[in-house]
Amino acid sequence: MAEQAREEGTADVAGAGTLPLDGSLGERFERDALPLLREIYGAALRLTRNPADAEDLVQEAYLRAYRGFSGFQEGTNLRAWLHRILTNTFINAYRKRQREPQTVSEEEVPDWYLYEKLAGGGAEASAETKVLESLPDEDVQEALASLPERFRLAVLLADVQGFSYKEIAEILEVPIGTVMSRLHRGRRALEKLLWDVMKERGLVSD
Amino acid sequence: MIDCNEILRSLDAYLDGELSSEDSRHFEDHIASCFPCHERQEFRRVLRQVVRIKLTRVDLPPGLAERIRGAIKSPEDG
Repeated sequence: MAEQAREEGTADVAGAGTLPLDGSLGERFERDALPLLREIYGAALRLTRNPADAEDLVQEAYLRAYRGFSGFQEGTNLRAWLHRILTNTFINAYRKRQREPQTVSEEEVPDWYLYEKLAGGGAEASAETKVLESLPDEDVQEALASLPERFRLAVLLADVQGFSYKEIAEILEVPIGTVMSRLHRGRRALEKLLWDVMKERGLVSD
Repeated sequence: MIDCNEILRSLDAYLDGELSSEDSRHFEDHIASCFPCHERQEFRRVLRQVVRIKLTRVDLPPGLAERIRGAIKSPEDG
């Protein structure tokens, strides 16, 4: 409920008002937060796994961010702040509606599972990764989508968005050690899924 | 004698840029002279790049930015 929010462009000049945003703050939000839309939508798509939910999630997250923007300190990490709002919105609202995929078992994947599968023939690293590059984007997206959520979030924030362990810990509100172990397990599980899909595609054979 | 297993355990942290500069140097010194570790490092590095590229390509729904602007300007909850 933010009926009081006004955006008439003629609001009184900046002051620490209680309204969500005055004119200049609203402009700053548009200037700074909206250009991150593609990235935030991309993350939402990986979280919700479908465009319709991703769009709803992004709209809700941006609306929340807008309402909370007066509490955001300029000069601090806006990207991390938006990702945190997105993640919380997802966890609180969308996750309940979504069925967690159960395609991945929780058992731990050996550290060098994919490497050893691919390098079995003694090929060089560059040759091994060629086959990965030949995978359609959708296959990699689906592989990520089938990771359990806590792994998916960590891998997404580190490997796609490029956040540091500390930033991820703040976004997910968990200790750094937890980030590291989720990343480790998530990445190895993703490698296993990539192997499985390459096999399905007939790109490799056991 | 540097233990390869120890080096490989720090590979993710190295690629994540999370090692101290001293540990990074230690890591780089090792892989410069150890072919198997170097190969594994290359493999993970390229794998990450490929995954990142394939997960980053996204079609933004047309008009989404405008819808968000609209929602911000009249923020009644539907």
